[in-house]
Amino acid sequence: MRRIIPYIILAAVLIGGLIAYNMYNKSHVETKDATSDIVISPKELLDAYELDEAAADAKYLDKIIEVKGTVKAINQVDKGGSLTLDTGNDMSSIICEFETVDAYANVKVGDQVTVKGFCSGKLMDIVLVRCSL
Amino acid sequence: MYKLVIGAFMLLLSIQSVSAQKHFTKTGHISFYSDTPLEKIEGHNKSSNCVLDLATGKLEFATLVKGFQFEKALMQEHFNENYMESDKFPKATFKGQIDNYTKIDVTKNGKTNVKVSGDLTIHGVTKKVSTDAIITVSNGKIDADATFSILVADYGIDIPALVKDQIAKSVKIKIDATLEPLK
Repeated sequence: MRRIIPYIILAAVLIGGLIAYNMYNKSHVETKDATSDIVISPKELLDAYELDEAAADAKYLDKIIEVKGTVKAINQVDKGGSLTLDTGNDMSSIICEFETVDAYANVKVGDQVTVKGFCSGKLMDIVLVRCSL
Repeated sequence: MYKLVIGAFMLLLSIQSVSAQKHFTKTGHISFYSDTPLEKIEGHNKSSNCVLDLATGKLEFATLVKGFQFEKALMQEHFNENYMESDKFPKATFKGQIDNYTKIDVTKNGKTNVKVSGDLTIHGVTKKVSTDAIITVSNGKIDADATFSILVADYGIDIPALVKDQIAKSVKIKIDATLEPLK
């Protein structure tokens, strides 16, 4: 019995280490594979933020939001980029950030798209991050 | 009558020139770096707002804390939950100006070294900061670049003793924004 104790300890340390390593390297939740928490139109989302930003933050922050709208602009920043969706308001849109350009390669200005992304709040525009189509 | 028309035209022209005084972007890139021998952490936000008033040299930045993207999901989680408390403080802002401002001529391409100072608000705490910056004019657009460091403790952010070797006490912040005329 005494002989196997060191092995048990070793096994525990290895398993513990493996769990810690996996936690450290746990991957981002991909919006592509995830189900949306909230489906809403760009205009409704903006209206909610303009009515009461704190309440909208409480409701939408960190949630996977699915919006369907018309692409107003496309911007490339580094390896990634963003699609700007029209809300009917000239000043404020929904900016959908993509990690790679490939993720929205076929999209053109004027297209209707359905985008899923994590809501990160509103500056002038509402920003969705880690988006997928 | 024609005086009225000319007057209206002049008014229109002056409104036009006033609005053209502001340059802005909604896709400013703000990144931060925490370098220690044990761990390198960096986060990037590519949807930051920046407005520069060419008439006065006033400068404003705003960014969403939850918009920062990290390589590792765990880093992003800790950044938001343990350090920045982004549910409570969703935005970080800077309000300041270019010191000893002389008007930037957007019709002339070129580089200018400037000093920028103002109030930086992170984690609900506002501090005065000052940094060197480079303003580059190219074809009517203005590139604003700056790199500066802040002390995490200045902004009321505690680093637990357990991870004090993994997280730098002083983090580097890098700004890269291309501003276009506000239409």
